[in-house]
Amino acid sequence: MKLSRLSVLLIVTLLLFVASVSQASGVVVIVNPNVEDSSLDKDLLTRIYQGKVSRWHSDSKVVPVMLKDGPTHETFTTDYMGTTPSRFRTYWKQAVFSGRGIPPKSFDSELELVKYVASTPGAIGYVSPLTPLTGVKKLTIR
Amino acid sequence: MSEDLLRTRNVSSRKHMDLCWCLAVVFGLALFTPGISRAFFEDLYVSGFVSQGYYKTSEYDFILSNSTKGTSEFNEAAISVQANPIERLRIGIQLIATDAGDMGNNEIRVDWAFGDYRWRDWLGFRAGKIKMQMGFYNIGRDIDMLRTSIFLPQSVYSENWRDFAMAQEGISFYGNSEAGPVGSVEYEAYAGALNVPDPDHSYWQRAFSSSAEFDLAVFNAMFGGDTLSYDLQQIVGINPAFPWIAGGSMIWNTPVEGLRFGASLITGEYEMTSKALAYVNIVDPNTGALKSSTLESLDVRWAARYLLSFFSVEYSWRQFILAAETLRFEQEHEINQGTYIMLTWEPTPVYSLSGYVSEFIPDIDNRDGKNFEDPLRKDFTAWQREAVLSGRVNLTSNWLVKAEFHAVDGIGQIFYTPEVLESNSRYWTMFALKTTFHF
Repeated sequence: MKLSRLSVLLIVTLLLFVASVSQASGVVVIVNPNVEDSSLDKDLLTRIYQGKVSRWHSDSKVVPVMLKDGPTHETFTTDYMGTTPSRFRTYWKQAVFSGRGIPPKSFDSELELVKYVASTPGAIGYVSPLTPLTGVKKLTIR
Repeated sequence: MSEDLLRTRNVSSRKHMDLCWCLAVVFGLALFTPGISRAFFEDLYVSGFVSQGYYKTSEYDFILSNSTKGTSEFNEAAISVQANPIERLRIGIQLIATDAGDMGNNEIRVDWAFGDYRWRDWLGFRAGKIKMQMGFYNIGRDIDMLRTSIFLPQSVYSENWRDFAMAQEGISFYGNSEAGPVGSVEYEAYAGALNVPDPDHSYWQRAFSSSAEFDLAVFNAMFGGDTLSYDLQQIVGINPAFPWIAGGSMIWNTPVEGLRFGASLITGEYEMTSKALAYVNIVDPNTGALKSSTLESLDVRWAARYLLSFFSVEYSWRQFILAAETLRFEQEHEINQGTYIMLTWEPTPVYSLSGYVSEFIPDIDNRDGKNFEDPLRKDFTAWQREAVLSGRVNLTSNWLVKAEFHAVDGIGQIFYTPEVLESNSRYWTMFALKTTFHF
């Protein structure tokens, strides 16, 4: 059976669309370029965002930052924190009101977050794969 | 109000004011010290909440005074400020005002306030007034927005203790560490003293006068000779003190996602002093006739050591959280025990439901109430069991409302007074509504 040129074009377009959607639904973890680590264990990432790990392997300070809400934040808390955005928020409410810690600085927009990570030594954050990255480096999560 | 009571209250208020001033000086120094003030301002983190509730019981004034009539003297408000003036150091304070029946009366006091130096993730040091990790939820008891239920299970987190058993004034060492393939552990050890902010609260009057230790202390205070008895008229100047407390806790976060176990152990000493106005009766040991009866002012004192142990487990899976905890309280010849199991369902970020069953046994050697010395004492004073259902709606991300119903069997957590002795109500109910704003 031969496929018409139109059919091939439609299939390729569909594949490209599916690929772009699946990429868009993911999350890219970024760090300030001065961070020596190029990959991170997922459990360690969770512990960083829980405030339990405060130093990079080089002993420099970890500065985690996050998004206030939105699909990227939801994907990050679900896929990487193993929880929901509301439970993650509750976790930090308990820490704040019992004096156990200060939550990561949060941003309304991904561009603001990227800008902060680029200018803050030790900073780590997450954005959608579609967000332009300037002055930061991607971190591989194992 | 007696002079002793006034003095006790004034000393307590002065202590809190002194602490507030010390913290103001610390924050002031941080603000005006060159090099750290900029970072201080950048990292200043301010949060707060306000709660208002309504509470009613079908029988017995339990948790809040006048609860049988229904009461809205049931609120909390708090504001906290934290900052990292220099790397590794965090300082903070939370002021809180609560009204819980005749407890609190919305007086502002320091809930917690401490400096925290985190040398390494596995070893940090805190000093000041620090919330104690007892079970999984003690440090979050004041914080209504953390849970679906209004009241934590009373068998393990008694509201009677909330006023003084939330935070200790002293030091703490803490940390957390990865434990390789078996997960991670969090640990803390602390030592200090407990402050009783409201020593003239009726809780102490009831706890004091209805205990066997009180009887013994009164008899010790009375002079010897012929057979004695006493008719208590009044207790004045109650001064409960917890001069030292030491404890530790450990939480094991297992490699199974959402599953964690915890254990806490706390020991300490309390001391009660007061004056008791009582008719001291001298009875002829042969005939039993009353020889004399004189009104005496007796200095009453007793002290005892106690040991608390908590064991906890929690499993979060999808929309569900299952938690179970047990508390054992040992004090000289008395051991009481509390246990509960709670299931919370969070189908959406907006709604959640929670249900728990809870049991408190005041004396584990008399679980069925058959071994009371007093033949008139009802067996259902030997336990308190509750089945509780709670619902929560988050109206916005900063505003929530809750409702809760308790079906209760027994009165093991209610002080055994003459009024309670006359009651025949084994089964009773509790109902509560609450709303909280937080930022």
